[in-house]
Amino acid sequence: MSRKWQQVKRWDDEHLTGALLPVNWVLRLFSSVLFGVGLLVVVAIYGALASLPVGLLITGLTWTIYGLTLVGCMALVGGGAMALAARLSRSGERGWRFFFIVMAMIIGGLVAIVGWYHLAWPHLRYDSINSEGFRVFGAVADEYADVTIRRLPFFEMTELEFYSWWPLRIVLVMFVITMIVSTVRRIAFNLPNLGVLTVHTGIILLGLGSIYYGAMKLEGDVLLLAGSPGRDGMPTEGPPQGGFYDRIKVALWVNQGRGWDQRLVRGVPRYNAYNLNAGLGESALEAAEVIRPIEEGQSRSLAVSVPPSRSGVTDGDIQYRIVGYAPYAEQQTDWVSVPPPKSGPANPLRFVELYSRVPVAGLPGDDTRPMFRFFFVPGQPRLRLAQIPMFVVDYRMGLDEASWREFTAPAPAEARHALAITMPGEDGPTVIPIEEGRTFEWRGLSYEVEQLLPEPPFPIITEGFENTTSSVAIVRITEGDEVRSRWIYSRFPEISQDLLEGEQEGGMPNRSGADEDLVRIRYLDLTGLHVVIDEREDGLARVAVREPGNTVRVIEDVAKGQRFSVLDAIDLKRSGSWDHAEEVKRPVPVPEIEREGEFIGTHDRAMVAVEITVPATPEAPEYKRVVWLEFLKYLNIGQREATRVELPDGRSVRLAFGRARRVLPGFQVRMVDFEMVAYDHRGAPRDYRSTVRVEPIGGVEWFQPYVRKTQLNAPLRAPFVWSDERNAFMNTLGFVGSRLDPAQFKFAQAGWDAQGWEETQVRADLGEIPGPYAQFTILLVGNNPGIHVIALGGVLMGIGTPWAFYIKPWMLKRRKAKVLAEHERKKGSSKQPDPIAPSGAAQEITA
Amino acid sequence: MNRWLLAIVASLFASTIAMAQYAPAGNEHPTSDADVDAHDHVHPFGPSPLPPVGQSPEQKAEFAQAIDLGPLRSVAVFHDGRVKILDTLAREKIRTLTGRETYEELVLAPGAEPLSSEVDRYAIADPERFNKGRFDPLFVLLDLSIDPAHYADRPLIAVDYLPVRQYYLQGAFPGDEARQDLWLRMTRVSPIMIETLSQSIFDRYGHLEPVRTSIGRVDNALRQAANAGGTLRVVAPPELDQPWVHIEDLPESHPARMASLELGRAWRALDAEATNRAVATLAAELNAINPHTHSDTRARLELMYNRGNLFDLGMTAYGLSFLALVLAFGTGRKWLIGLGVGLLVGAMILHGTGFVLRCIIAERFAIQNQFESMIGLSIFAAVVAFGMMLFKRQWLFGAAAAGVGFLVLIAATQTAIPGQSIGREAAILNTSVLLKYHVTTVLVSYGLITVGFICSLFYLLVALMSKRQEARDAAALALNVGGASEGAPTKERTLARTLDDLDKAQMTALQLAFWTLGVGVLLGAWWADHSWGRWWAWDPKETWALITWIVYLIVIHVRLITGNRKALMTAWLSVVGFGVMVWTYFGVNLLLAGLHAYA
Repeated sequence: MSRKWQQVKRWDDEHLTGALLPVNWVLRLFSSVLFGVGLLVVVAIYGALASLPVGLLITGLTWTIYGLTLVGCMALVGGGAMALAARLSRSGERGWRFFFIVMAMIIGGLVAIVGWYHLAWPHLRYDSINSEGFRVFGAVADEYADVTIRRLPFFEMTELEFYSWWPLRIVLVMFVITMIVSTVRRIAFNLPNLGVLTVHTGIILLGLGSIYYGAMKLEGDVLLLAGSPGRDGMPTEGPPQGGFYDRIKVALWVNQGRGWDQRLVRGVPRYNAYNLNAGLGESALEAAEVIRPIEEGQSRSLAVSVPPSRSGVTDGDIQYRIVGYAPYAEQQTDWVSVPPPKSGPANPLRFVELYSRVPVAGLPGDDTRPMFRFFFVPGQPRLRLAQIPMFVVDYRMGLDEASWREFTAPAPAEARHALAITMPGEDGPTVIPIEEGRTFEWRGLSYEVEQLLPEPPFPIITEGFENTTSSVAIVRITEGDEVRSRWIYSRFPEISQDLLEGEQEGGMPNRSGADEDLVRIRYLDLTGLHVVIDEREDGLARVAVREPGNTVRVIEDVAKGQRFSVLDAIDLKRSGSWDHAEEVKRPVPVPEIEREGEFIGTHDRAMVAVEITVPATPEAPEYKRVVWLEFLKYLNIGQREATRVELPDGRSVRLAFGRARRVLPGFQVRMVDFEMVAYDHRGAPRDYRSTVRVEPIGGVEWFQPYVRKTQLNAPLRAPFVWSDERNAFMNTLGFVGSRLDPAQFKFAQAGWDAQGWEETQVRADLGEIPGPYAQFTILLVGNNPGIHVIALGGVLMGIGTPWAFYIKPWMLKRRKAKVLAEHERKKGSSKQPDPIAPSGAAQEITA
Repeated sequence: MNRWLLAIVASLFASTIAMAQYAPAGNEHPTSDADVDAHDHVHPFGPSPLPPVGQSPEQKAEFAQAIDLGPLRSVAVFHDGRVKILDTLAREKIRTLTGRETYEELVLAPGAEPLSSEVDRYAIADPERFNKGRFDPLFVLLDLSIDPAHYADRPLIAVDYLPVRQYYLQGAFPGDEARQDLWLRMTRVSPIMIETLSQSIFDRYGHLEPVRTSIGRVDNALRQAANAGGTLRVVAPPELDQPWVHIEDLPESHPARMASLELGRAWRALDAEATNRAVATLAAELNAINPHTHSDTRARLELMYNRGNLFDLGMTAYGLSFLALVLAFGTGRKWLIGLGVGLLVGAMILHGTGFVLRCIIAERFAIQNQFESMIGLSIFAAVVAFGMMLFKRQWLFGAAAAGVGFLVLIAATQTAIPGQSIGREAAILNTSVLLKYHVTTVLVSYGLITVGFICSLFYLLVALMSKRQEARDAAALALNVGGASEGAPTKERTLARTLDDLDKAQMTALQLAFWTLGVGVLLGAWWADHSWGRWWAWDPKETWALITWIVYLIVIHVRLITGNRKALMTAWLSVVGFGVMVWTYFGVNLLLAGLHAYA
């Protein structure tokens, strides 16, 4: 206990009495080393809890028990061996006794380890496959294997957020106060104590600097695109970026045609699912068992309000709220049942069940339960068909008679492909079996079957038919001198096309819709079972079944709920119907084991449910709708797009869920060049270098534009840079100012277009372009407020510690020796002091 | 088993190489191995004949004895992003495949009754009938390229996770427990087992993380085995910015190409003489191609590094030194001190030489993966503790130095610590000078923490046994041999004196550790400010480094309030601090995701 502390305590006890006694207690508390140590322990525990998954903490308990059994064995066997060796060597020479005891301990310990490993460990070790062995709270450990406390639903914080949370802040503030108070009250301000004073000052500065840093820090990243290729094939300078996207903060982006409106949103979760069925209602995918009903996060509701517009570029009456969150999901298209529109056509949806008495596609036969449940949206070409191998069901509503006759037209039993040809004016088609290369004449036209393809050679891009497929017959039709190739899609005859000879302007093929005034042709793909269900307005349906062998069976007046046979052991049933269905995008959670760690907690794979509310007006009732939005890392860049929502009053809104965008203060950057420097022989990358142009914006030339490089470990600091065009004084002044200015930003290399670089390297090797290039580069952007205060604190800690540890003891030792010498001289004694028990004078100096 | 079937399976597994290639971000290690070197249908020694040559392990063993692959060992090859020698490549490959330094196979003992069927070889353990044949890694690498079918049903691929190994064997030998047991103890399974059983195991148990990880490793090893020829990029390009290519890419008339084809032919014919000729010619021809792009001196040093086993030797010397110095502590024999210090110096020379060689081969300061940091940590700690021993004349520091060297080297060399292969460093590490100071300082602190921990253990041992006569005796002797010989020691006073010395020793180490760790963390923060744009990100590694530092901060302050129990409290906290440091050093890397992916 230092003399100063004794004096301070004495003064406190004399003066801080009565009503001031609590002050005495508070001062005593904040002067307490024990209290400071306790706060440090709290910080350490907080840090451990924040970084260790709950499952690991629990598993640690199990491993502690494992370890204790091992240590126990070692203590028992090793200790026993030592005791035995001690007893046996009791009469031996001291050195040898020690030798025997140590060797007994080592050998005993090794025997214990080996014995434990062979005898105890096989029974203790928990085998997750067989669930055998010992562990405590195993189910909890499994459930929270990768979940840290900050990821639990109540918290939903990133590491930074959790460490910036108020409990730790309070502890740190109390620690800083304790340091200040105890430093002032306990440590004497003298030269030997300079070290500890420096260290304490350094820690205090570091803490204060961190508070300022945390309050003013901005960080994120910017994606800079390369420009269009120049004459030499290399990209030119890219478009400028005057802002960057925040690392953590997110926003709902709203656009009503007058520019994007950023609404910063607080409280959006990160790690857990909330209300994944928000706005979905009855789902066709779930009803058809394409996906299982989603249970994840069902018990958790969410209501995060979105602040109103500040910019005024969006209508103020439309309100938004986040009501669901999927942390890691894939977007899937679903159909949900909604009330039919008051105006405009409805979009009915129908369900058909398949029953089989024999196993099909690996599923066991069961006549009582449907094996498959299909849904059809007859108004949507791609959803009016259900296909499984060798089996097609085509659901129509109000099919025209000509098409019905074509579906039901008989064909020769052995035929696998046929054309149903109807000449203008004819009542019904003529079915002609075909095969590749067959030529024939019919009613004045010559036909040559060029190709019969199970899938079209190019993806179908006709609107409404995207992502569909169909077998296709390419038939060359000659009428006099005019020759055309007709592409006839068996499943979608309405998109059949004629390709005429020659080209259109621009070099495109000369093609048009099939000329049915010349001849109407349908391609009958007879390679499997084909069922057509045609529902009439009265709700009954007629069914045509084209069986293998081309027998066509027609079943009339099939009612809803009625089963009908399509093969000996297979029935279909019209099982359900919705009057109106609407297409929605919905999240389907990715299974835990398929989630990539780098995306967890980043929103990168997340979706949010946004509820849009248009309040009631005298003309219209309140309107509410929920849409699910994918996360857009960069607005307007990448494959993901904003979602357009049509409102009943005719307005439309584009919505996007993305990161908050920050504006660079008065300047912008653009990509000039990018270079990846590899190790020799095109080994792994050893550096990435972006060359960027920094220029002022806003019409004020407040600095000269310049071009600089930023690379790994050598970030660009902008807008101020040391310039040869300024004199040294102005440069120095600017340099110092920029280091304190929160508007000075660092741009550090963070990402690049690896794929583009690789592809262009191949082109460069072929001599097509001068060298490889990247289409984009990603730069980290951040300011650094108060970093020099923090650095100063660090330096003080660094230099103060050796003073405290090495210089102070040396100084005390010297002073002690002097005092002792003086003391001894006075006493005239020549007796050596006891090295273990210092003399009273020495004790006094040490204190 | 039918060799035709084996050939088909071998060709099947040779065709399953993934071409996926991911460019590493700056923060990741550029390791990629099989993926980077994927090169379909490479047959540097000519295509494998059908039916396969069908050589027995005995023939292979005899042939391996008869040939001299020496000239090929130092031939340069480009692999995993750097130019290395074939000897290194072979060692790395065999370690990846088999989990050991060499490939082992059961070979009939001389005079044993020949096998009636190859199936009987792995039927039952019979030490009298079979010997463990150990094959040179380079021989196996070449043999995998020349005669891959031989390995299709051999115990080639290590399966580290016991349950998965059991599943393979239960699937391969249903009901045959003797055979399962024999294979189980070999710790490896055959490529055929992997090809035929992995999917079903994955389907059944793939929801379990250890199973997925294990099958992933096995699958990677299988790809590497299948791609043995594809890894041999041994033809140097004329310029440093051009890639190395395979022998197959040379014109057929090129002498190296002809020599490689001749090598394959002679190898398949088990013609040792012709093989040796082809080996010598091939090595000479390959070395003559653009020799300016690879260093002959570095190749020789790399071969010396591979053959020297310097870390293993150093570990042994450290262990013996530790034992000698501990015994000297108790017995007072001065010759034990001499022996211990001599062994310690020898160990440090071996250890240091290995470290320097590795730095030269890697062309960088080799402290940038787990293995290298352990090698670095232990040499730094040993040097510092050795210096403290000389400065303080306390042999106990020597024991602590030897203890650190032994403990860390045994962990680094005898366990599956990642990073044993010398690779390129991540771009973000390559471009920073600060990194060297940051990592070195932190590693020194970790080493000093270990030194302090060992001193604290000594303290606790002496303190806890202080009531025993032996401890007092030992303390008295320790005073005699410890160098501090002031005063006439009595048993009680010398015990206190020993405890005081031990306390000083632990505090000397821990204070230095506290300072270097603090400076190391601050240097890391400075570096992070440059690299990641934020000086402190609460990354798990940072957090735990801070917690470790806090533990020692507590040590220093607890001494102010614990009176005459401060030394004991320090010793216990030192043990706690060591545990926290070990967690920070290993646990955080292996079990927690974070920015220090390369640490």
